[in-house]
Amino acid sequence: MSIPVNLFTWLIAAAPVIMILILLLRFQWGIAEAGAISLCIVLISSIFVYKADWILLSCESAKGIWSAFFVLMIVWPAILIYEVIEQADAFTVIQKGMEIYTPNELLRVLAFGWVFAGFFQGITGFGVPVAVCAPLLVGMGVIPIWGVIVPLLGHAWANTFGTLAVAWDTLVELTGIEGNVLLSAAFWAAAFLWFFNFFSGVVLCWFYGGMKGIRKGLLAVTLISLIQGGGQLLLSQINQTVAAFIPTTLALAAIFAIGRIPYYREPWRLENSKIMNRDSSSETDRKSEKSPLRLKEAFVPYYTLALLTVIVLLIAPVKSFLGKFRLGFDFPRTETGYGIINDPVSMYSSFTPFIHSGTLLFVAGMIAYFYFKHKRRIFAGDGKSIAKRTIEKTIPATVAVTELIIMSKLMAGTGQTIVLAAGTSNVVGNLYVLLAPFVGVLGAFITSSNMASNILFAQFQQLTANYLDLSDAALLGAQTAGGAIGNTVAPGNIILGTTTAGILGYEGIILKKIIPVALCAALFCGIILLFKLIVFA
Amino acid sequence: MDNFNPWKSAIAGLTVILSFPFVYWGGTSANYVLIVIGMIMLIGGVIATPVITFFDSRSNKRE
Repeated sequence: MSIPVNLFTWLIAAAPVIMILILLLRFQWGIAEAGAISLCIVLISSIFVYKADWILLSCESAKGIWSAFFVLMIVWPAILIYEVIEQADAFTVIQKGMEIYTPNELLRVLAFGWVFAGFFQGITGFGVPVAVCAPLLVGMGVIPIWGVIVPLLGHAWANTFGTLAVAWDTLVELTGIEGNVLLSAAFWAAAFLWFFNFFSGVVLCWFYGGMKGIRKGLLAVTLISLIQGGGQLLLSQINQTVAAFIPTTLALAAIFAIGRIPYYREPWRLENSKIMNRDSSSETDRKSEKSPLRLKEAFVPYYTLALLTVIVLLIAPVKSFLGKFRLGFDFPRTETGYGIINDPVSMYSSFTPFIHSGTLLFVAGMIAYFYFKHKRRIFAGDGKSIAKRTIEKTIPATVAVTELIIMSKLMAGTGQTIVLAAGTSNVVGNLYVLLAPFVGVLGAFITSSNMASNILFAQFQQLTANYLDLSDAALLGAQTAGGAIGNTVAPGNIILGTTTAGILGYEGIILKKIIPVALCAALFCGIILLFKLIVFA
Repeated sequence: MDNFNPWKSAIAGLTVILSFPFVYWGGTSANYVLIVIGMIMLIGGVIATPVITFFDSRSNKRE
């Protein structure tokens, strides 16, 4: 018995996605509340329409809670780092110090929200760039809502080949592509991502100051994009594992060099920039009655995090030794009444505590705490208030992240996700090329992960390409690029930023501002594929 | 949005997380008693979030 793909099953599968969008965008609900309603819809449709039994529901829910633990292990210490820095008033130091070092305010926003976020995506990923950079930008004087939007857009281009190409490797493993097809798919993916990299840089300048912002930032964006996007494209043909890591690291050095060229060396800012909070400087002036702290000392948590990440994740013997300790759960084979099979897995999504990004964040946070205490920026008793504020901020995120991940597991495990994609391709035929990137976006929207989007849809894209006689390399490139773009609108990612920036509940407002950017980028990728289809048919 | 009380939600979050052993062992050993307990905890915890927000916003409006 195979799953029926018709308008009814398609609409039922789309209902939770549509519901979450309506509740977030139209009614401005928080993600925890919207996610709860959508999860209930998925549970009901899984039982009554997709013929899931209770054992399948139970196993997929358990997988969801376990996967949520993975993400929460990043959220909790990311907030801890933020609270430690906040308690030490180090954000004030960073803000003032960066004003001297890089007097151009737009360049500072690009440095933290685009280049620094890209760097963290290059190594750690899993939401760390948004969780870390959002409060950093807020500390610099960016309005919290924009403080979340900027790194969401700034990090996404590195999603496919970032985290040492874990999303890309998943796609390759699932589709079995090799040789020229692999290189061709890597080329398409990196080319689309280069476009998105440049596009997001320009959009950030636009957000900062409209056409004036673009005019001022275009040179920096072009230079950085050449390094980031161009470098990634080049390396995607040589070694995909470091295709994002090397360019993001080079870009980090380049942004400081760009700050020294005459065009950016002079103090510059737009007083009426809609993303900047002009009142915050007077507020920060009142603070800092503590012992002096230099700029490089204020950055200690981030240096520590970068150093720990490089040591643990890039030095193979260290990684393999620490990676030996792992914890995971076995899951049995489950099947729906329509024959959708979830294969048995041993050590599902195994947790490696010593190389997990959350552990690195936690260690960096603790080192920062003791360092600032040593520097007399944190005093006895401050630890309690840091812990209290951290717990207060993490609780709401815990529920929301868990709901969203359970929802994605249930949708995938009962075949709803594949019905969504298959139903669309059945209707549009060859014009599917236009929609291929959107399928990647949808996967990332549901799962908040480029890798999970590829797990859900890579084989489907390959099968569709073969069925419609299209280029599978181009469609796979569009799939993973769409997955990267989709990370900008993924509620699970947005909530990481809103939690660390202290504006939980504002996810709908943020989503509303980012959706047009993500859809434009995905549409552009689709148009390129359509153009290729027409010209080279 | 501003009336969100994280400490009330803590119970909801904890209930969702504590449902893990029930849904896991229930699902893997096909024990329907554990499955039912786990699913009640899971759905209860999930539903509690919008309910708490709804009642909080109503009481805030009244104030």
